[in-house]
Amino acid sequence: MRLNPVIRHILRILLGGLFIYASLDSLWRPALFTRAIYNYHLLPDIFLHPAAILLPWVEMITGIMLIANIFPRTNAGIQAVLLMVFTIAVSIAVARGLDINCGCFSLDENGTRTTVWKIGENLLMIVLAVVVFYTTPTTGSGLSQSKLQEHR
Amino acid sequence: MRRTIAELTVIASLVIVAAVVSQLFFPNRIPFFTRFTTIQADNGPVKIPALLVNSVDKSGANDSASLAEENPAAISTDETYAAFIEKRGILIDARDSEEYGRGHIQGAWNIPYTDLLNHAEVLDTLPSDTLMIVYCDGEECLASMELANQLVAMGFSRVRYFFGGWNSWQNNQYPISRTGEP
Repeated sequence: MRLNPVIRHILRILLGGLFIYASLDSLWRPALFTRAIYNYHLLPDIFLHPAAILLPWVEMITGIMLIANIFPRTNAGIQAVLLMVFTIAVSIAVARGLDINCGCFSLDENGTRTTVWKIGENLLMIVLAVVVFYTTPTTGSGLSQSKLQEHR
Repeated sequence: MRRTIAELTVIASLVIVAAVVSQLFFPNRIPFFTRFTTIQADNGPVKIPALLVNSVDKSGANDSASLAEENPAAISTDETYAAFIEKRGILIDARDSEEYGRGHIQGAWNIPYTDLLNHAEVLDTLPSDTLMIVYCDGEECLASMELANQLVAMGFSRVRYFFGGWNSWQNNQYPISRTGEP
């Protein structure tokens, strides 16, 4: 899939920024994030803490690496998969009639809830991640590849 | 493919290193392995993650200390009923006003757990050692715990969450009200 390199870099940075932003509150308040995960009633309790500790770091590291254009395709792929998992979790919560904080960006009481709108928002982010994934060259970093193309 | 696996390995290693470092130095850290605590529910002891019982602002190293304070603490249906009969403390329904209007424990106040700030003025007039029994639907809902933790954070020293909640109260056929008023 071809995309103007400038647009591709903007989308990549946007996606990376969104993931860094999403990780901040859960990194800073892991106890609240643990509760947010628990409220979904999907994960066995034994995995609550490991998930609450590791997930925000996956978001943060992949976000930083995506902005820095390090392994952009792999990082976008990881984020697409993560978003799909999150979307499935939110969809199950909505189907069960759970009105809970989705644990997405803000963990405050007035943070985003599990709603159909949230599913739509996630789907848009999946599209963004998939576009970044498919438009990023398979070899070398995105930047080096685009520079190669410019030299040709 | 080999390249992707190598990249995934690098990313996974960075995540693990970052998580381990954060576990060493982060002020708000939580234990890496889920810790459990046993609470007394109506149908016997129930094991739940300790963090769900603790005040949310007291995560991490002082888990056991905050557990020992037992505020908020669990309260059984019988104890709640005894408090209700003896008119000790106040009962607080943590569900939204719509659910409250469909039915609630007679005399219970409605303070949805997402709406505590709008009730802060009334709560400020109460002595800090007022017995507060918070409930929601039953064992599956966490609104009572959320609200109980917020009340503790506000400074109330005798907050109890009634784990059996509305379902248990109804099953026991204790007094209820089906209006939007206490």
